Amino acid sequence: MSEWFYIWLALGITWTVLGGFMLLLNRRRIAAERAAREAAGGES
Amino acid sequence: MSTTSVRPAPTPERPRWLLPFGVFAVLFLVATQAAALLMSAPDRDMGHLQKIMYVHVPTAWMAMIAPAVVFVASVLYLWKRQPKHDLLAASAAQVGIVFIGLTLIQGSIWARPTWGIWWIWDPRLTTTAILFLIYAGYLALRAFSEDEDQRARWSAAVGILGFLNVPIVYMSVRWWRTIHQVQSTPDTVDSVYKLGLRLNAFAFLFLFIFLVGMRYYIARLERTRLARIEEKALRGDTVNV
Repeated sequence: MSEWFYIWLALGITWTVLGGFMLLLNRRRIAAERAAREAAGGES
Repeated sequence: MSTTSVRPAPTPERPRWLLPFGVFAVLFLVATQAAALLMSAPDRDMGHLQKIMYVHVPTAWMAMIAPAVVFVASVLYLWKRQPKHDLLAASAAQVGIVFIGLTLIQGSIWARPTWGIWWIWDPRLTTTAILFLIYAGYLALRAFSEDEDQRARWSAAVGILGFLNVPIVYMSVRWWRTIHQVQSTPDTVDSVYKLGLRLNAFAFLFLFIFLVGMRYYIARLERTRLARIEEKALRGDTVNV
């Protein structure tokens, strides 16, 4: 296979994994902020 | 729900620098990756495959910096017994295992066209795979331990002992006969690649700081929520977990 196949495979996997991890963290942040507000019961 | 008593604390504020810094880190990474991809000259031996260096080497550095953060935070926890150090260690471990896993995948992809194989039990590859298993074990330990104090103490012990593998990974290419080249640093690569490697290393470092910062903030929020729930349960209020 062409060397560009391996280059794009390495770059593509890296960007996909890091991008996916950032999206997951962001979703978890939003959920955690909402849960913390609810647990505080409007105290914060 | 945790069975230990967790002191109630005010809901943590999101650090103001966090999201703008994350946007900056991503944009900087996009710029440095694009510059490396478009402007880097082909290597005499590897040709354009050399461009994989701009993701593989900085990722591998983050895969070693993360265990160092876990190590320092674990030592601080055992010394001062402050939960924030335990949360920081856990955050760095979670981000770190992503970078360690990526290092293995990128290395395997680079190995196929250059060495002719996807994987070999070479000292560098094997010690890196062991590093991955150590931090997978660290995170599994945290997931299975209910007691907060016990989890923090045991995790700190694993975080300290696990770091011992990092210098072995780093020096493996010099200590043993190996197919892997010596460490790629601005001192060991050709001068035309130095700037690109440096810039991409900083881009990955900024992204790493952002990811650990974000994970640490989430961990603090989750801990505070548990403390609130426990506080309400102790008061006899209705609790939704």
